[in-house]
Amino acid sequence: MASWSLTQRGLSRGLRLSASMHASYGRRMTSSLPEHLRKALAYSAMYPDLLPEPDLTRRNYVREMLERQDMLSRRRAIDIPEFYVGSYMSITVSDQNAPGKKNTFVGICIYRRNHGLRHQMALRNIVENEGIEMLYDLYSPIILEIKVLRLQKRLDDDLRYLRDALPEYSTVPWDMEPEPHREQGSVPVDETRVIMKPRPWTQRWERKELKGVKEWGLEDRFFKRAVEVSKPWEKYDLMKEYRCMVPLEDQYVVWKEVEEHRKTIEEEHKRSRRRKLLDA
Amino acid sequence: MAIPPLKIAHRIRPKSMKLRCIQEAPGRVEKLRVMLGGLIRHERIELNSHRAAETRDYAERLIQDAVLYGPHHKRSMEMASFWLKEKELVHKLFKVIAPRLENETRGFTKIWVLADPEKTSYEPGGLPGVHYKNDWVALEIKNNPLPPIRPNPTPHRSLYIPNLLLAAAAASIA
Repeated sequence: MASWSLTQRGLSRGLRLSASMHASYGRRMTSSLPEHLRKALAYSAMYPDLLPEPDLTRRNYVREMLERQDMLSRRRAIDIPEFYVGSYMSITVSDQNAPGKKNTFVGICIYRRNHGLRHQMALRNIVENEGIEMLYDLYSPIILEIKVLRLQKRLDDDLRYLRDALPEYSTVPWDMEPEPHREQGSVPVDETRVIMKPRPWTQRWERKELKGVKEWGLEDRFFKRAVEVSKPWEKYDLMKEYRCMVPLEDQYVVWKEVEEHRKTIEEEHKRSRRRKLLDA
Repeated sequence: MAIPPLKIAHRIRPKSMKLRCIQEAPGRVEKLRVMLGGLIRHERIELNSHRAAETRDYAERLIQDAVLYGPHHKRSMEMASFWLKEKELVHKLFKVIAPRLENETRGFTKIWVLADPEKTSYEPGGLPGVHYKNDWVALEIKNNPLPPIRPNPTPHRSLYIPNLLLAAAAASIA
């Protein structure tokens, strides 16, 4: 693991360091990324909320700095664990009108959206044969506890198609206990592939290139049309890809603070989580 | 994919290249492929400033990936072989251009503003036709073996004609 000073040096010397690192490692390492790039990649999957908006016309550096301070201080106050789209979660919020003044919802995280303090996540579950989705602001002060019941990813980054899939695929048991998971290493991928309900759907899912659907239940003409309107060149559009990303220089500013936070606060949170697991 | 920052001020939003008679999206890709191929092959091309700015961003990304990741990186190779149709240009990108620009810190390409070419006639000796070469620029890859384009040296401010006239008037009054 390279230290942050190495990353800083890489930043100050620009790209040339990583290029020369490549040259020194020789042919063996060329297929993999340099260490600081790999770290930035892992963190941007782990904390998408801490990254600013990629759209340059909407950037405001002062606002981003203030928001990041607020987010990290909120993360100090409550334990916001690492989670991904597809993880099973339970969220407890304070609710004046609920018995015990607390309300808990359990479900599968189907999407995450927005950047910074406005980051939101949606949980979906089936309640009395009715699909229910709860949209939470991750940094809302009414959130009392966030628990990850099963840490996993799914085949797709957006699971909104579960709305039009059979209900068994978005059902999470209400009395589920948190499953222990490895704190190091890669996150397991749940390779469940769903069966869709018959049309009408909320969107034309056959056009979205989904990996996690097994049975569509559609006629051939839908797939023919999907091929007609598909845009296969878009995945090669270098500038489109570039415009969707926060430049690494800006990411380093964020990840440096996050590194500090991980060393101090998150270790503490992890220890208390382990203690709770042992006590239970 | 972690993308290192570009070393030039790239376009914030893509702009339409106003291509006539072809569908915009795939036609744009085809046009960009032609222009990128020309740029890598000849190292300097002359074109409209709009298209030059659009092509430049893509060329910068291609060359940067080639410099940074090299020919053994799967994705860079895939990108290069999509944008450059001829196989020899892919070789040239990774074997000639990337090593040459390895220590470049301020962008790999350069745009020179040229004078618009003169109106020419479609028939020999006929009247000049429409002026279709507007905003004419040269887009080149740095450190190329071609003879350099020098910009016109800017005259000192005191040599501007209004300033000369004003100075003469002031001298005649005094």
